[in-house]
Amino acid sequence: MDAITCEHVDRIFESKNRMVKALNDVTITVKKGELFGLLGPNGAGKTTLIKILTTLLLPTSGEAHVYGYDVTKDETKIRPIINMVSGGEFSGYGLLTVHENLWMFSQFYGIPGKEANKRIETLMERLGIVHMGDRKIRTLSTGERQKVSIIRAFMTDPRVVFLDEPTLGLDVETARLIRRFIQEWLAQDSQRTVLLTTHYMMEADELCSRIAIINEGKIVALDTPGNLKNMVKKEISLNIEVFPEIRVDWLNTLEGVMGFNSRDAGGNLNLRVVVDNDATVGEVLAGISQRGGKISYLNKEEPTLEDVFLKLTGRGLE
Amino acid sequence: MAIRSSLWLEYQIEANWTSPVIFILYNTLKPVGGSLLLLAMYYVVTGGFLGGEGLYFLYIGNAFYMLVAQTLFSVGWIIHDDREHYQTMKYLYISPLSYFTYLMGRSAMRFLLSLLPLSVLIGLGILLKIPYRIEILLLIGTFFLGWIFVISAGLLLSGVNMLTARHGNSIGQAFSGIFYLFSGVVFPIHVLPGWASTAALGLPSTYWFSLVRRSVLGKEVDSIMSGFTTGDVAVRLIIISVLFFVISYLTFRLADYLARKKGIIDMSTTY
Repeated sequence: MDAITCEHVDRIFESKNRMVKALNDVTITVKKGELFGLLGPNGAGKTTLIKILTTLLLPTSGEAHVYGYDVTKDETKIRPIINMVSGGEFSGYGLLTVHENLWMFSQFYGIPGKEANKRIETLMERLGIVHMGDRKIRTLSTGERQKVSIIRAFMTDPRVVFLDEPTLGLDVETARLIRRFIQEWLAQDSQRTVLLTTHYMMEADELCSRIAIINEGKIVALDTPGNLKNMVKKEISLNIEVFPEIRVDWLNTLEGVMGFNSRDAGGNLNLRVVVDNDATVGEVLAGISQRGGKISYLNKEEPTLEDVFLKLTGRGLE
Repeated sequence: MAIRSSLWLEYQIEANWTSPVIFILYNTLKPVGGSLLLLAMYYVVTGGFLGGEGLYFLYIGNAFYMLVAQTLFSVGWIIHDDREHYQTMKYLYISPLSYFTYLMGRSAMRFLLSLLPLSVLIGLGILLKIPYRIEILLLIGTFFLGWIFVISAGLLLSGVNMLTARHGNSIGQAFSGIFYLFSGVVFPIHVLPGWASTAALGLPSTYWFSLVRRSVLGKEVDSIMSGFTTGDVAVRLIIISVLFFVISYLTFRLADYLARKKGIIDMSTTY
């Protein structure tokens, strides 16, 4: 039995004036013991899929199962074996201390008091917040709060953990600690499974055994990070820094450009372009020059998951 | 364990913003002050202060109504608070804990916390020469049935709140206002228009307030409710409370299903 299966899952949100297809025919299978990544930009449908799998939301059509249980009917069987963490939020009862918050959630999972305290202590120590047990949640920094959320989810010893952008907005050190913790937790038991959503390609590349790339609700590719990157092996990835900042929408019509992503860098422009032949490289550079842009940095780089995304969707991840 | 934790959480949310002494004072003086205000209005309107069936009726009805109002007011906030303020609702919702059990625990604590100001008001009643004839067993049973009725009302309210955003306060007040107007809290139901007194007989709260007066004053003043024996009132209260509970539970389950379908279990509106 697989840990997670989704077959032709659709989810449509309807309001008075519009209809949004958040998930479009999503079919994935996540094996037990796997750290499966869902990579896509904001609004791609990653959180919607997690909400369906955690029984917070019903799919419009299709079937989804967690450990063989149907998410629409067997929620009481699914809930004891799952947990989730969302990034970029400030959840928790601010008037309670860290320990009180965690202890209370442990009781909602029916963990005996002594065992709960032991697990909380161990995880707080592991994540470096063992001295913060008596601090009220409201006094914690973003990173500290996220560590508390991680402990809340992992102390229940779930079989499947859903991590929705767990390192969003965290500093490099905290993000690295959380990533290492996830890897170690998974390695302790072959039955444990993690479904991770992220729009950080490095995170997906580092952690995941397989990745599904999702764009506008549709899975556009699913494979190991290595195989996904092989998809753009023949293409050329350019990292260009241009000053002053110029418009780059002309790249949309330039033949040979498979995708590009641009970011403002304080008056300069960071441009990542995937092209399918050497001749196009020259045309891109000439185009920049014709539009008044000067190139301060140019590098041909190893393909990344972002390049895969650029190739598949024509746009960047952020 | 889950219900105990829910009770504990409600106490913490209500109380731990200050010292226990200040909380007890706040928890007691606020509702007691409200009740005494009503008493002052009674004095102005009637021109008399002590004695009289009307005063006893109003005083006891109003004192016990506090249990209903405070519990419903609090329950009205739970979902919105958990969902939008604390952002914990989705984590509570996906835990093995039944969200229904959680709400039961939270409302039970609010009900218990309201017993303290109620005791103070009953004590003050001695100064007002309220002729108490307390039947303790009947009073205990009345409290239990009252809790069931208030929980049912809270469940119904929670169902509505599950589908709305940030209107818990006003919906809760409007909801408890129905019981205030149509259950003989401050004026007997026989003074209501015919349709309203008929509707009042369909509410569990009408029988509960009648049972309250019988267990505290040893009698019922309202001419319509006086027509029932205490046993009749108790049986009717049990039957209507069970029906009310079933309706409330089914409404809550339906709202729960609709909220999952609409995707608003973890809605954040910033209203």
